[in-house]
Amino acid sequence: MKKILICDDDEAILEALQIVIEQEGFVAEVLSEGKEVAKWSLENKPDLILLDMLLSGVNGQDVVKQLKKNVELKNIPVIMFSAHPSAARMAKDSGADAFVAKPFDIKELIRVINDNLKERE
Amino acid sequence: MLQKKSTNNQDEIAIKNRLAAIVEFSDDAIIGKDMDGIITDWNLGAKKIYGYAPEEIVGKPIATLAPTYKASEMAQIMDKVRAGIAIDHHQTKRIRKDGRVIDVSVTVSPIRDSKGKIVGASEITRDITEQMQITRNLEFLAEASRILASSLDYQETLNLIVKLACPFIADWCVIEMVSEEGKREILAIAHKDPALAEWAKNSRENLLRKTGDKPALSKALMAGQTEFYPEITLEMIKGAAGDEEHLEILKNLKLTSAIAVPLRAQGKTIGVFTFISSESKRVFNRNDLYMAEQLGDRASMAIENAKLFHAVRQEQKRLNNLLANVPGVVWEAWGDPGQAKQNIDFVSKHVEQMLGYQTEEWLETPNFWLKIVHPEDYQRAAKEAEEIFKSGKIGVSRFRWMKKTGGFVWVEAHSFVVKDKTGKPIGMRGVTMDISERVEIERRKDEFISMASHELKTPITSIKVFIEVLKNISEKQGYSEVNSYLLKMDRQVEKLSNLVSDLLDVSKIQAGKLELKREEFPLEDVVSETVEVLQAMTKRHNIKTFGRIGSNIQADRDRISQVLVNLLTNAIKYSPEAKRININLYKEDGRAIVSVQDFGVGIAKEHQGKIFERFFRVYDDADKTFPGLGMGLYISSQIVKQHGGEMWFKSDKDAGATFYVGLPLAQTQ
Repeated sequence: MKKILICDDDEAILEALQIVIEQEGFVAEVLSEGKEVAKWSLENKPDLILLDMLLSGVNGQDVVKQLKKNVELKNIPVIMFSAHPSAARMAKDSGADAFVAKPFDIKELIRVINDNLKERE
Repeated sequence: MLQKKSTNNQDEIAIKNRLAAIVEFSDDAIIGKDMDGIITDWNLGAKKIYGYAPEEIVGKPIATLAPTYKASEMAQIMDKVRAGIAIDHHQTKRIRKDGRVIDVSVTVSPIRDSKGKIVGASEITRDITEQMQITRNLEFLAEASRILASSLDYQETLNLIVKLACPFIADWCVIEMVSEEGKREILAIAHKDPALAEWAKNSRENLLRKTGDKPALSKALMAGQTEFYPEITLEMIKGAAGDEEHLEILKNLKLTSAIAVPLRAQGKTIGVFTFISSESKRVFNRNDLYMAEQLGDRASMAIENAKLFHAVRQEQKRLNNLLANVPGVVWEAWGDPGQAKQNIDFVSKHVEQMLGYQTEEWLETPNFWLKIVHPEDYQRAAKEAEEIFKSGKIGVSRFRWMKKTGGFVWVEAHSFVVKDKTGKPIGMRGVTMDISERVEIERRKDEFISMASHELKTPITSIKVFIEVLKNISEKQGYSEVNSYLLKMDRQVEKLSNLVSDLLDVSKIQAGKLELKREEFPLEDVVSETVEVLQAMTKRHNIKTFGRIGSNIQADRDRISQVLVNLLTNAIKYSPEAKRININLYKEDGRAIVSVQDFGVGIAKEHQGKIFERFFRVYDDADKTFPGLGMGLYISSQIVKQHGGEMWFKSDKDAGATFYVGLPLAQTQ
């Protein structure tokens, strides 16, 4: 089963996404602290990361840059999401593989996840 | 031969007699004098001009006839006579027996005896006093007109007039103006001795204070008639004197003659110009009367001009004060702003406070207003000004003006076009207001909307995800009823989500941050996709599409879809009783046009101007509003505008509405 890491500082979204993604047949792990993403990923090697753009304590863009700099992590697809108006461009600029605007349609999100996982195979 | 000679003699005598008669009765003075300048001959004309009988003057020196200051001239004339030189029409002064100095033209010719020796001279004198007076009068009146035209200050004009007339016409010249109640008030007085003039003015004012009353003008003066007193009698002085002391003063002035000329304006007597002779003992004659009246006419005109000018200046001052206190810049400019040929000819003082530039800088530098527009707004402000000028109508433009000391001010210029008689625009006038505060409030509001909509999206996102979670569970468990409710819930959350998106779009448009992802595609594609989605949402309406474009447009697919969704949603919403909605596609003037026609409530005339404004909504007969925030058409029109297109509509109350979207075709085709 593919392992997906979800990082968002909103507990409700985190919980809901975890359930939905597990319902879709993935292993879903959650983190509310952006600064732990890289460390956790090195230890647990997720197949895909879902990352919110605005995290408390750390900027989501900086997290993506950190991941993409690391040889062991740079091939893990990162999908960013945000409700911020100009987030799509910011996500692309920081090196994210895909972007989904909040509030998202779950089917659309699952489609993007599957597309990105397929690309890596 | 003798006979003949005697005949000759008789002829000679006759000629001599005739010549003597001509000389004797000539109007000119014909005087004979010897080599020493002693008068030897004196005709009737001489008696008339100089006043001396022959017996009184023959044997006296010719110098008797000249004022003492002309003695050397007389000696020079005698020298010329002795040298055999004639003098022709020499203009000079002579003195009469009564002491009056007269202007004369003198011709002096040497007289020779039969051997050619000079024995004396004839002097022909013509009295040209009257002729000279006319010339001087004309010169005086010309000078008076010139001087009076040179001043527009009321008091200065009055002072100039009295000084001009004194002592040319009279020893005392006084101007009094008539008050509303017909009382006279002394305003200017002149005498050759300024100290005496000042004294007279004060004593007159003292008298008025003492009696507490200002004498009124005579009926004749009020009716515009001149009063002429060639001789001032003691009775007249007594009548004019206020008291014993005043009478003494007037007596001492030895007043001899007076003329009072009314000063008139617009058919009414506004004052009186009085001329009085005293120490010169001059008795005014018809000529003086004529001059006084002539000067009075000119003075009336000058006073009237000064008054009008004063009134105009007061009015101008009042307007300037008024304008200076308007919390905005009132301005006027001539010429076409598009050709950098606009000259500002008025700008209100407030501008100095607003931006720090002196009004002179505005007036002296062509297109100054544009030169200080913020570089980022420059092109747009120039274009908008030119558009307003060409349209010949009223226009509003917003831009930033740079302050002299740095920084900028947001302003809103309301301009209207000034046209010539043929309707051609020649200039602009307007008011430009500082809207910095308003702009700041709007900015904060848009920032708030942006932040609020962002904040709203977060819980919506989790609600949507939880609905999905529930749907998955209920599907697995086979709860079909729960599932149908969840679908309804999902649709409502979707609506909420769209509202939030609209709010965000509005704030993006306001901040000028609406970004387009342009691509080439046929408009037909987006239309059919949208119709498919919207048809699914309405059971009552049948949405039909007619025509085709056949060329691509270059546009943001999602945004164009948003516009069509908005137009179709409105068509459905505002035609609840109708069954049809028609879409027409066609090409026109290099543009792709799509129109959406409904058969619903329509738009009343009074609302038509506001339809594309933010937060505007249509109300029906019962003034009941349809749901929504009134952002859709505003967003749509702004999206179309951003694409370089145009949106418009045709509608009548209760006759439905047709909305048109015109978009430029892709360039590559």
